[in-house]
Amino acid sequence: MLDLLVGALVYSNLLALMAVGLSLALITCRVSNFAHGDFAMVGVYVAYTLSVVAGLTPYAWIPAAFAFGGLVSLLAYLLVFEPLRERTDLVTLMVVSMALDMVLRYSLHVYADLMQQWLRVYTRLFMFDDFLVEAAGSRLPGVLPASTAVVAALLASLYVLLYKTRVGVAMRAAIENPGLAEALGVSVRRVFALSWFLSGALAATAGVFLPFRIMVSPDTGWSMLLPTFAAVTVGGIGSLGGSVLGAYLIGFSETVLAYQLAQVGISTAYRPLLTFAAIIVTLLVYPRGLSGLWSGKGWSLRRRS
Amino acid sequence: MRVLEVKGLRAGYGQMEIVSNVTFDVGDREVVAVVGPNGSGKSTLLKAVFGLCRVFSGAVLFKGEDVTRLPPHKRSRLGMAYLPQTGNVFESLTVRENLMLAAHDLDEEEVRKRLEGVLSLFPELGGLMRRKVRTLSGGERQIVALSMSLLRNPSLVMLDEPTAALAPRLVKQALKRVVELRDEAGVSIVLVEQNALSALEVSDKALLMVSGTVKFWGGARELLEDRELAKTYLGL
Ligand SMILES: Nc1ncnc2c1ncn2[C@@H]1O[C@H](COP(=O)(O)OP(=O)(O)O)[C@@H](O)[C@H]1O
Ligand SMILES: [Mg+2]
Repeated sequence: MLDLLVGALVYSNLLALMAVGLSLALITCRVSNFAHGDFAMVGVYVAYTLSVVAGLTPYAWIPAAFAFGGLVSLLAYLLVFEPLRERTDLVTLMVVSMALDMVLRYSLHVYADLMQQWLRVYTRLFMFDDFLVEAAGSRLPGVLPASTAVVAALLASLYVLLYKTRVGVAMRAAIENPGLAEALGVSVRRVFALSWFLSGALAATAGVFLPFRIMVSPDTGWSMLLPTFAAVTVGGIGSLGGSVLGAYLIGFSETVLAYQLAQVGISTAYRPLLTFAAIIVTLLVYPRGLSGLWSGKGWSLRRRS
Repeated sequence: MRVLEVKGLRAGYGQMEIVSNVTFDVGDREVVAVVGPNGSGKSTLLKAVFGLCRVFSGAVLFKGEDVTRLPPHKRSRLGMAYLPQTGNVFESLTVRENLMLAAHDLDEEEVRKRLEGVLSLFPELGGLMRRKVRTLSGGERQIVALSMSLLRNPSLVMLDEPTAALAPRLVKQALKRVVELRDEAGVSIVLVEQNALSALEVSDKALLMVSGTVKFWGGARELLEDRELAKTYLGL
């Protein structure tokens, strides 16, 4: 039972970082970024490589994963999505992001091969060693307090950035109405570049926690994509607060459902069933997602349509 | 030197040319009215001058400098201001945040000074600072939008139908205030207006646009007195 709770919390923490990052890409460039999962895997391989080469636990390399994941995402924006912004339709953007996913995923595969030859370690289906913490008479995996602290710190910083700084005002303004922000002397390109950096940085950070729970490969990012999209949809597309809420809802219900399935002897491989169902039901019943319920109030950034 | 010179401008969206061969200019502290039927390309002309739509050929000179290929935020930094017809304020931001954004590239001392200037032009702004813009009336929003432009100390302000959201009885008063701006803030103004009569009465020059081309360019008074044009295109 405790295991179930721990699993749900860690998974939800991870989804929260992924979902907020995906939302940042959505509200700036309106792109449903299928390459978002790869940013997470970039984080995984950065932390893995550094911890093999330089020692130390992968946790210590979170800042490096954050920076490198952000950089990859920033490049994706500058080289691919910025030139297409305002100039193409949503479907094209989505297809382009799928192509980008392929490019990144196979690059990661190539890197995994090189890393295997170079460092003589398994670079597919590997896990990270965790430490254990004593709490309330039981031993908990370290990834629980670690991911919870990192998620809380990052989300709080993001909130402060958006609501208490000049750059944040410019980000919110550029998201709501890029043309007007530009007319007032804001370089929307720069502001969106920062958003994209954060988008990839948050995903890469989430990635570092992943191998503490499951075995990962370059393709694992792809399977993280579906629950991330579900969290964003359930939370309300375009709302960062909604994405966080959606992440915990999807994270917990998916974990609990998988447990129930296992109890009655059904394979947990069917757990995406719930995720898909959540997306469809939300879109049918509450097209604007949970954040539609507190529309306009709180942590809700939306683009004028 | 002219504040703005537009020479043989052709502009539009995608492959579509909406504005053809438009030439006009704006002098220091001049008010130029742009009038014409709906859909004649007035808004597109302003967008083209500010770099927000596609320019096929022609040139835009601001204080003698060719800005035709400059991105809008750079034109804004040079001292051009543009107020779109709709969506000219950030609804999800407070009034203070809207003003902060307009002044984002200035240091705090400068912001304070300019804010004082804007508040003396629009004292009613003082009581609205903490309000979210989406809770404001049409007139209040227009004041916020205008204040944002003025905070940037522009030498040219281009207004796209600033009175559209106002009750008819307020239109004349609002346009009078626009002209006061010219005198007090020392800016040149390009004014796109549906209320042609009121606009021409307060303007120095007039540009009459019909189907994307210039039908008349000259003194505002002359256009008012040209019965033929005024009747056919402005319903006066
Ligand atoms: N974003 C756009 N894309 C394509 N066509 C547009 C766009 N905006 C305006 N148009 C077209 O350009 C023409 C001129 O519109 P506009 O410049 O808004 O005229 P006005 O401001 O004089 O009413 C219209 O036929 C309109 O349909
Ligand atoms: Mg118009």
